[in-house]
Amino acid sequence: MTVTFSEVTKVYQGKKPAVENLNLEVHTGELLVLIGPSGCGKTTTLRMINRLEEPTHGKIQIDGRDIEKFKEEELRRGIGYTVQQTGLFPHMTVKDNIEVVPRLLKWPKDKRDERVRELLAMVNMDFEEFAHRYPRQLSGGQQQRIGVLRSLAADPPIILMDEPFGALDPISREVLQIELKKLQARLQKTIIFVTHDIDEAIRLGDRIAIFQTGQLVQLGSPQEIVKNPVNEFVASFIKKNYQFETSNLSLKALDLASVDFHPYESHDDRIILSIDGSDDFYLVDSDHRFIGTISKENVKANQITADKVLQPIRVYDSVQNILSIFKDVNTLPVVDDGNKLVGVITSLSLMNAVARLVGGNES
Amino acid sequence: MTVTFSDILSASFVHLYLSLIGTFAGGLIGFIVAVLGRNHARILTVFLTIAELIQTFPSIAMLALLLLVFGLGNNTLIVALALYGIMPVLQNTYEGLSAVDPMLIDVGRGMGMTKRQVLRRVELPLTFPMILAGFRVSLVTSIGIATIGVFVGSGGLGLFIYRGLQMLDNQIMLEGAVPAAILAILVELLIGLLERRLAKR
Repeated sequence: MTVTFSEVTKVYQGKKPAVENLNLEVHTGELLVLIGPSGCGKTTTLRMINRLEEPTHGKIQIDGRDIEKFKEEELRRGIGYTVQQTGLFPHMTVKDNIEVVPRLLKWPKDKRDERVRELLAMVNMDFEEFAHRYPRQLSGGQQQRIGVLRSLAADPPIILMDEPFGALDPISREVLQIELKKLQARLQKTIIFVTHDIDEAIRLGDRIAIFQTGQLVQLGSPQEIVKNPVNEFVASFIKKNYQFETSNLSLKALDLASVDFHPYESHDDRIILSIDGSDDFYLVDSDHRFIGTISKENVKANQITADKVLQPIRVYDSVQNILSIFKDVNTLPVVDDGNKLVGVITSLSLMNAVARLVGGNES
Repeated sequence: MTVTFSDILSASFVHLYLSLIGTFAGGLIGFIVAVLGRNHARILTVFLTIAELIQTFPSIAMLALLLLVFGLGNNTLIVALALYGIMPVLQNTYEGLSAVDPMLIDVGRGMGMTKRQVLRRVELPLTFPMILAGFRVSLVTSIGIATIGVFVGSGGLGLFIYRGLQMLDNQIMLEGAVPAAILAILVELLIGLLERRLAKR
């Protein structure tokens, strides 16, 4: 189901608009992350979808139907809702908590029972062991799992999550993020997920919407946003939160290498290549397989044999690996699985890669 | 004149019965006022002040005043106990409801509960231990006050105490005083136990 915001503005009396002229379409089956600093309007945006907040102007539609047309309670029973700190009712058991919406929808008892078993099984929690516990008898991670299951209970097509993992320790948070990602792959719900953690946004989001003081400033896939932040604010927001994780997560050897080879000479089945930023030449065979490195002097003296035994690295080697080797050499050839030379890491190519990462402009 | 064990037992039952009815009536008033006024702090403060004022009334004076309206008999005592019983339950219910985490109410609404469903399924169950504590305090007080109900012609254990004092017969007096004390202690213990069991969840 799609959720569409058309020119939506929310003003609290006597304050600057919490959300201003928002146009946004959430696609069926996607996980859209709303992110920004506190007070940017992300939570207000989320809460307008199930009418916990009413927009001052504009309209919100679900599958083309204005949400004003629904009865508040009926709309909400059809939309899953999870909040920070779990929001579990402390006086209800795990089972009772999960059953809240099915009960409101007057499901018969055996259908509810079956659903609770099914949901607990999804996160590998044993029914007999956990169903009759009270929330305070569970760990933080288990509580938050139940919170997520509760929002899935009546199988709603749309789920709203308001910083659901915000209060968890980093390890539990990561485990739950992975579980959510798996659940989402299986269930294909339309999920709107609020967070202030850019790592979480990049890990989970199909698309990310970045908010600043009530405005949607950028909307795009995690890759687009990391690579092309639309303005200084987005760039600094990503940088501040995401500077070094980015390189750890996604950058591989090839991203750091220069790939602009210039053929210099060929001798029989051997080709000598040069590359900007390196004084050395690179010797490959006719299939572009890496043989070795030759110094400038030897090339000039027509000595066509590899004189340096440089161990090449693989395209998918991690940044940490590369940097630990690179401090002892000037250049580092990069080969693919077939031992073909695909690039060379030089000081110049490294600096370009860093410039791309930080500045966001391709050069 | 001798008092048999069965006399004591039946007087104890009457005593407990009168205390319970008075406390329930007062508690119910306090509960309803707290629930209706939970979102109207100013109005509720007025009610709380009145309830506290009633609480400061000396019990014998209260009975005398009510006697003018309700005459001799159990009714005067029950009305007095009801009046005294408003404050503890009113105050505890109100405090309990105010202490419910607004986030839980928000979640309840967000999942599609009506305001009434939130009250019944979330707010009141969470407040119940507090309400029970208010009721316990009120009932124990009532058992004490009910002993002087004899002055307005109501039944219960006060009769033995009064008679014992009149006849300078310590035994008869104690046959009223000791069961009354035991009754109060039992109520305190039993309801306290129930509260602790609820609090465990």
